[in-house]
Amino acid sequence: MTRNVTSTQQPTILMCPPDYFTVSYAINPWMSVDRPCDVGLAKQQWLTLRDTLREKAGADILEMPAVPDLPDLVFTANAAFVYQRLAVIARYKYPERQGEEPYAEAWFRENGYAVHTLPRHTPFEGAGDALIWKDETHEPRVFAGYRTRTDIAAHSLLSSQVGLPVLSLELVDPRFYHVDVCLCPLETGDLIYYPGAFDEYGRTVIEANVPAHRLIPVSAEDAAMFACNAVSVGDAVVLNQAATGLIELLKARGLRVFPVDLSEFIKAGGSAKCLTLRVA
Amino acid sequence: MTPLMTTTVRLSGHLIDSLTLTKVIDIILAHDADYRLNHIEIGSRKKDFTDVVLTIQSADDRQLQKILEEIAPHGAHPLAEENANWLPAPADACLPAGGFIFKHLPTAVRIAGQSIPLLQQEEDGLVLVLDEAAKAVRLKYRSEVQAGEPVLVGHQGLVW
Repeated sequence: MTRNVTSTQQPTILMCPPDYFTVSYAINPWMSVDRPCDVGLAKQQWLTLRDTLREKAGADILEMPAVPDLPDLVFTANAAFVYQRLAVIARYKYPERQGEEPYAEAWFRENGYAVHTLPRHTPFEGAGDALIWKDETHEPRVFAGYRTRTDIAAHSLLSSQVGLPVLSLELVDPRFYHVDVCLCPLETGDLIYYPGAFDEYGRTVIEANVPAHRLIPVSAEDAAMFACNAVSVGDAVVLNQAATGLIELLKARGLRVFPVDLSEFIKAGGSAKCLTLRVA
Repeated sequence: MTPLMTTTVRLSGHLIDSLTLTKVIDIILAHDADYRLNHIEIGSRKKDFTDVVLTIQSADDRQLQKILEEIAPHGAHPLAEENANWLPAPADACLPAGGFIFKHLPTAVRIAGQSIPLLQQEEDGLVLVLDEAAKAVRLKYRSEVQAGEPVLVGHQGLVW
């Protein structure tokens, strides 16, 4: 089957090596300081993900330096929302991650992006909670999560900055604390989502905005394996290898699927998408 | 008859497409409370915001507080006690940017920290102007507004 890809831009992804990655605090249901990660294995898994994105999916990879005592800086998806060379920098809800903000801002400034920061009291966790969906017949729109990490007030501020409609989706299951762990727009125009992470209003919004033939609902079992936390590059999808049901579904739709083992990052509540940020 | 407890809240954003307004109203009704829609401005394009001001009416203060707690995460917050804003009319019978015609009249308007009551009138299509010399406010039809006259803009400072 031939897949239509709506972006012609050279895909560029920002990553941060897990030099200081560990689980030293617990700010989501997946994290426990009593369940430490294997740092050596995490580094191997991160390298495999990076090389898969670069060599198999065809993405350019940029790396920002890791910083001591900021273990979650590795999850670059949360650093900012990027649209057409504008970076809206994250305002983290929890103090444990707020130290990351100046490093992200500095990186974007140094790399020639226009930068916008939100008010201190308006939590907003970047592309972890705001994802652009579009296809060949629909204008781009942003699906944005709120309530667990991002305040809904940030959605209007984001929309004002990027000029796109922002559809607010309440996240109702604490395990799916960012929208990028329960919803994933693909560059083909398809949209993976876990219906159980949203209430009836949210599901209605998703189904009203995305044609039925483009929706790919995943099971609770796959969702718990971070199936929705996938990276889409053209007709390639890179995701956690344990999301077996979705992997077969995507292959059946003609996509190139590259499963990778990301077990150590799941202990911190993140997987493939959380470890990446599309910056071009 | 038990007097109703009321609070006026405002919310703004992509409220229609996100079903946020529906959700807020459903929460209010689920608590057996009622609401009055004071103002709604629906964006004409997909990316435009919708702006809503509504007054929640409840027979019970604790219930009202519970509603406020539940709707706050969806962006519905009580209007702050701020002063109203005024801009001069650019020409006779013209409203400045942000000026508007009332669908329902507020009960009062805050000026310099004071709440000035408004006489309730039956007529529709009124605008509020500030009479600086008399330190008073007046309701007028738009056709009666004179160039340079300070006209209320936005919903800040209105008491519903």
